[in-house]
Amino acid sequence: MEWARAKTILIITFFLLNVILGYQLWITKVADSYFEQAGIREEVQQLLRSKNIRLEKEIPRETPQLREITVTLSGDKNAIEPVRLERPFKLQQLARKRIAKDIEKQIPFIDEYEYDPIQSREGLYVMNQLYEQWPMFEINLNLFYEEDEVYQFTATYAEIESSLDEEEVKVLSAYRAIAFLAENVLAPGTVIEEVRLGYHGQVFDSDIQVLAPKWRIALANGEVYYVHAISGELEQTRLNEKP
Amino acid sequence: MKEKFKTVILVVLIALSLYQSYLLAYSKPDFDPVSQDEYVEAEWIGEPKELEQLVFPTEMILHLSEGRHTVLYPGFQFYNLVYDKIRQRTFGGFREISTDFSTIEMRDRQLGLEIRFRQPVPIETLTKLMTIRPDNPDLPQTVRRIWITIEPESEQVRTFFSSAHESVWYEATQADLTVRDVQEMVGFGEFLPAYHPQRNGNYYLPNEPISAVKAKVAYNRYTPEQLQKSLFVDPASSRHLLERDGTEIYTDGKRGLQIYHGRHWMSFSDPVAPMDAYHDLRESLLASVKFVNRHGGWNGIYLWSGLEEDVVRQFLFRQYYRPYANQQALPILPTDALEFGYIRLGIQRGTVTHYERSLIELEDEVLEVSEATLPGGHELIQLLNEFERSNEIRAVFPAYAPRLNEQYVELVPKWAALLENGEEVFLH
Repeated sequence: MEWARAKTILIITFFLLNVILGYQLWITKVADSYFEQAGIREEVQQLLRSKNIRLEKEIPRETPQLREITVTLSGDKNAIEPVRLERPFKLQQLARKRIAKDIEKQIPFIDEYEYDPIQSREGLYVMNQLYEQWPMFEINLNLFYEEDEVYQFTATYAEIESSLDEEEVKVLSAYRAIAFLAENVLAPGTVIEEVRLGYHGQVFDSDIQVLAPKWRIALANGEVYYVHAISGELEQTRLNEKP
Repeated sequence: MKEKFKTVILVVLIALSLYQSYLLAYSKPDFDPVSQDEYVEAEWIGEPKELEQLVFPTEMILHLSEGRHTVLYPGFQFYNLVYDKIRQRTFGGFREISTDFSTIEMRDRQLGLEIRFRQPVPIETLTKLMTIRPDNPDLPQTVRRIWITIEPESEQVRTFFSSAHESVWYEATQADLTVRDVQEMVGFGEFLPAYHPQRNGNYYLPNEPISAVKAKVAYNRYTPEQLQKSLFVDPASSRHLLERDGTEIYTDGKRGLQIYHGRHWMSFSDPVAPMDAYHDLRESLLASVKFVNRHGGWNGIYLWSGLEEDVVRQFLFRQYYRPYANQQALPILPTDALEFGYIRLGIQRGTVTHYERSLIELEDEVLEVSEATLPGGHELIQLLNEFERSNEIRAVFPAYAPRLNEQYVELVPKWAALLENGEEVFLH
């Protein structure tokens, strides 16, 4: 009988212990990051308002696990010299969900690229190759058009090396990247055109390139900043300096 | 039956609490700091220098009156004596002088000396080189030339400072240089080779051939590991690539270090976004000097000799060489065969974004020294006439042409010219 009562007491004690532990776990795993994220978002919004910095698009909220990637530019799939299209097509056709078979025939792998409004300009429609849904900003398909008709293209095509020696790390949130930029660099009244997560790196005259996950923050005045999504380091390029 | 059930519940609860404790204990964010063993101190160490050691006059011209002149080059014994004496004197009481100031009379008729800098020197830097009291708010921001002369009628020493483009001249009315000082300094020139002015005194050429020294100097090469460890914060995170032409690349996805083995050259770029406000020239210069101090250092004598102002400010530091003390030091210019003799930095608002220099470092050990003669007089004028860009010449000076051998770098003196666009080229 005594042993039975002792067991009851032990069950109640351990039950309470489990509840406390469970609550602690929930706090650290879920709630913390949730409330923290919400806090940061509010803080950043306030910072932007105080400096009169305007956003054209919403700031992305995702923080996936990513790593640096090494890519190989495979020779035969690149088109460094412009390739003339035998059957030019209308630009509007690219806006459709499924790209027409005929276009795919003329421009191989076009379905692996995504439109990049920041690098595009009048007469040039730029697309970035995607790697697991994230664009590689330097791996481009350039479509040249005149009066909405695409007549030639150049392309770089990257094959991602499968070596997984690098561990995937949860990237910095876009809010942190913007906060850093707004505090240290941006002038009051700046307009941010787009914030996008993707891969970026210095391009060398080599078959192999190293790209790191970075937040690309494009301003309306043409300046482009990259914030390394793992280390938080900041770099700047001007689009008109692009080769 | 009931008791059995309670036992099971208890066991489950104990197990669950253990498991949750485990999760709590090990679920702390997984920080991955750069470990101390991996973070090695940069081993690419050279001699650190101050900006003031990288600015010195490229030539001093002694005017002996009666149309006689001679030129002293850096490092030469008399150059050092004159420079030391001037640095001990004080200059002040600056006033701007009238625009019709002519130097020709001073140059040809009066005893005096002229100190020329390659780059206009910021006045704050000049005050560290010499004792100057910048007591006039209108003083030029930068100084290119200093002229000290004895006025024959009054037997008085007068000192003039020119602005960057020599459009404005200032006189230091309170200088403690005596007539004797100037006579003594100019007197060094009595037994030195005679020079004559060319193109309104833009440059001076010797009347007779002059002697110089040829040298074979031992060298060593920086290794890619040294450079990589010094230039990357976390060397372990940088990847190694090979370019199509065999160039080695190290990159961490942001910084890039390119090592051109064939050309014995390295180039490092770090596309940082400038964060500080506008930096003036001197601050940028100081930042570049500090950067080189930390990455590789100054292996020898260097002169700040080039500036390009664009989106990116570029500084060029020219290497000078002399085989032994009190010998004149000559600049080393690159040849078609060998890129050598300078360090170039690109800087954006105080942040170094580009850094390039040679992989070859001259050692102290001189293997062989021999006399050489550089043409003078008519022969030199002939050389200049044959030079197709002779109307762009801003200065003519002797320089070393480097030639790389397996064991040594051979430095051969030759005549060279500085052109209007800042280019420095050999005349023969």
